[in-house]
Amino acid sequence: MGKKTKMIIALSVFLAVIGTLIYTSIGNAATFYLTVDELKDKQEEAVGKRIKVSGNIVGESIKFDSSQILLTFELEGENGFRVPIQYDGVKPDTLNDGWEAIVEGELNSEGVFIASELLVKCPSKYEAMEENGEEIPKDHPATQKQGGNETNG
Amino acid sequence: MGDIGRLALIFSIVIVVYGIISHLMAIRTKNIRWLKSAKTSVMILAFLTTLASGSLIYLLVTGDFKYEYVALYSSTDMPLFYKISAFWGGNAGSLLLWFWILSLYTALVTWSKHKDSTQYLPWVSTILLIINAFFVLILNTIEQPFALNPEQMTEGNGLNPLLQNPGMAVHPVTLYLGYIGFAVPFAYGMAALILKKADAVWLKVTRKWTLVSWLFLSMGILFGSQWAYVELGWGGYWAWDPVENASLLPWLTATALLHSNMVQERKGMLKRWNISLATLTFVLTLFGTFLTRSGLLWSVHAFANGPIGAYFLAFIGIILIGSIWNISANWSVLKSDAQFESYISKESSFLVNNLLLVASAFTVFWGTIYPVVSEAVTGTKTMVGAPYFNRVNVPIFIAIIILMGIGPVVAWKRSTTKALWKNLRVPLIVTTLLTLALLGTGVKNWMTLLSLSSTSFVALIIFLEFAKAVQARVKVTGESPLRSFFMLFVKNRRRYGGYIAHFGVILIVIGLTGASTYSVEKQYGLNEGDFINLGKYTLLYRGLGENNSEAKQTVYAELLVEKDGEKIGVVRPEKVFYVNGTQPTTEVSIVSSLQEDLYVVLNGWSEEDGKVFIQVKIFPLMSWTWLLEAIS
Repeated sequence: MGKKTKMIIALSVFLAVIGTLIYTSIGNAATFYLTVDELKDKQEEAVGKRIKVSGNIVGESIKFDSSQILLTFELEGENGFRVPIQYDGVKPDTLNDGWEAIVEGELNSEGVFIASELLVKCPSKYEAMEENGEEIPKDHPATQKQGGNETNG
Repeated sequence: MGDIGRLALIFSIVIVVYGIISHLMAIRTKNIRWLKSAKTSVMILAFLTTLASGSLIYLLVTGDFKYEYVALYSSTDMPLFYKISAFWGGNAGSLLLWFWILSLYTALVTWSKHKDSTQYLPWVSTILLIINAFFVLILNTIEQPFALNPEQMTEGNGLNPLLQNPGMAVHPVTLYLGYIGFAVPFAYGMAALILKKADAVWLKVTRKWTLVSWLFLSMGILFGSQWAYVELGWGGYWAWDPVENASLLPWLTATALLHSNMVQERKGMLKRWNISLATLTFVLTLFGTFLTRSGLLWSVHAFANGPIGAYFLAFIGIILIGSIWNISANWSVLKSDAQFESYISKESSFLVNNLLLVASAFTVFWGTIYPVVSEAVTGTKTMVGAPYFNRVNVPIFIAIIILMGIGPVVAWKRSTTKALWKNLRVPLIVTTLLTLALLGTGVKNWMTLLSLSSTSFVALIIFLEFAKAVQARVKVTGESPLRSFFMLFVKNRRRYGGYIAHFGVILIVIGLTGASTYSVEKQYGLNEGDFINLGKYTLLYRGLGENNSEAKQTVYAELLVEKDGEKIGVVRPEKVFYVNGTQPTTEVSIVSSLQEDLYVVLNGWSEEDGKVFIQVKIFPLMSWTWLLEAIS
């Protein structure tokens, strides 16, 4: 066996190992990423799987039980469908009506989403202005893009 | 002032185009006057970008809200330091910073002198100017830093308070200084191919560039994760999110390049590999900027951020096609001068290290773009979170660390197992004993065990190498040991500097291992006078307090901390509310020791029953990671 053959064999083994690592890990760590509306259509198959769901916070549904440190609220999709969320943790400062939130967790059999992670996306200031009824020029770039300093706050 | 900046950017287009043409003319006609004119144009370009950047900073500092960028990212009540750092608070400013640094680097290179520089430089400058051209184009079309504000405003938006942190203000700059530096080795590599030069001159010349860029990039990544740790209040420092991965990818390939270019310098091997790595690193810096600036992977439904992403992708495509064509056309030029002689040699240890680093980069890249790929293939967006990245990369990194120990003591060309055993005997025995001791103290997770043993193995070897070298020097020269230690760096900077860098990596790994395996986290709802017991700590909650200033209202919880029954002080985790209506921020309190960090967050309070919500975390060994920053 020449040196080249040996090298090729060694390299193939190496690549196979890395490939296997990727393949097995992806299978175990993949989370589906859905909007609330997509979740509505796939409710059956989603139960018991790890998923991420994004939707808009419904302000009036927010309840926080301080004795158990348990937060419940609803996320609403574009078409008005709502999913109840239960989050075992403290209410973040940014949990405001109409803001977009992303939750990660599982849907239980009663259709309640048990979230282990909660991330509220901070809209840019202009959206906040809009909520206050201020006018933003329609062609303003801020209406299409967020400022370059989003954080996972 | 804004007009000056705008005109400087417009005039830059002309200069960049002229610079490219005059360089090409200089190459064709070999006429010294063309060359002089070409070099002058690069100087003028650097001047123009400095002018543009200066005027944007001037507008930000004076709060000229006629300009949209100023209104979007600054306000009159901000401290001067953050008014300046608002320069890179948004897209247009960030890209201007890119362009500014790149043009300064281009000028530095164009006016440098080294072996064969008369042949190299016209081509190198041409390639760098082509990269400049892309940024000039973007800054004059879709991202204009000097665009006028469509409305009258007397006050700006201000900079996101989260970004008003010294670490965050310097993080983007250090990252960029590192990122952009990799354009230089890339340009040199391409020039070497065009000139059909297969020697290692281009690597020797650019080694400094690669090294300094690598240092900046490392610092930038560290600053960024430390900022997340102290500022974001979720107790994390690395979440494997796309933007973090974007900075890690070029770091991994650049680390590989730093090792493999030594093999080419010494042995004339791995030429094809090196040129490919230099190209890959540069392309990944573009890809990283693209990820951060286009928001491609942030939102559930991508491409919400306008055309900038498309521009970047097109440019990355052009660079890739151009360099692949250039490399394949000159494939035979890059033939190796030597063959691998033995499996046990420094060359092969470098080769394995490179394979591991590039494999790690590939797995990170794959995980990062996975949502986009899965959506394209299956129609549903599937993401992979931190578990994937950790599972794949922890084993790879442990392998890299073990190699880090063995590599330095292996000889070039061929090494005998006997010699290797002689060098590794003591560290191996000590490491084995240490591993058994760790097992005895109840370390069960075998990845943690491996990580701690392999890091101690490397630390031991580094220590022994230094000890041996100092001993030898003292014997020969009769200097004091301390002076000998210092002289090692003077005499053989590459070798001993490398050890120091390795040692830094070891510190980080130890810190992360401790923090990720043994962190404890608990939430509490407390009334005044309540105690928390966690680990060795006792915290007594003494009530809420308030500090108010014009711009913000700060609410803090006061807790007395005892460790092992001894008072060690008071922590005051805060929540800060801003008058201008931006979202409140959380200021964490951290009690740090070499052993562990106690991390206290004020999460909120309830108006009804007067309870406060406190989150307490303990991160063992975490400060080891930041220790490195203090040292550097």
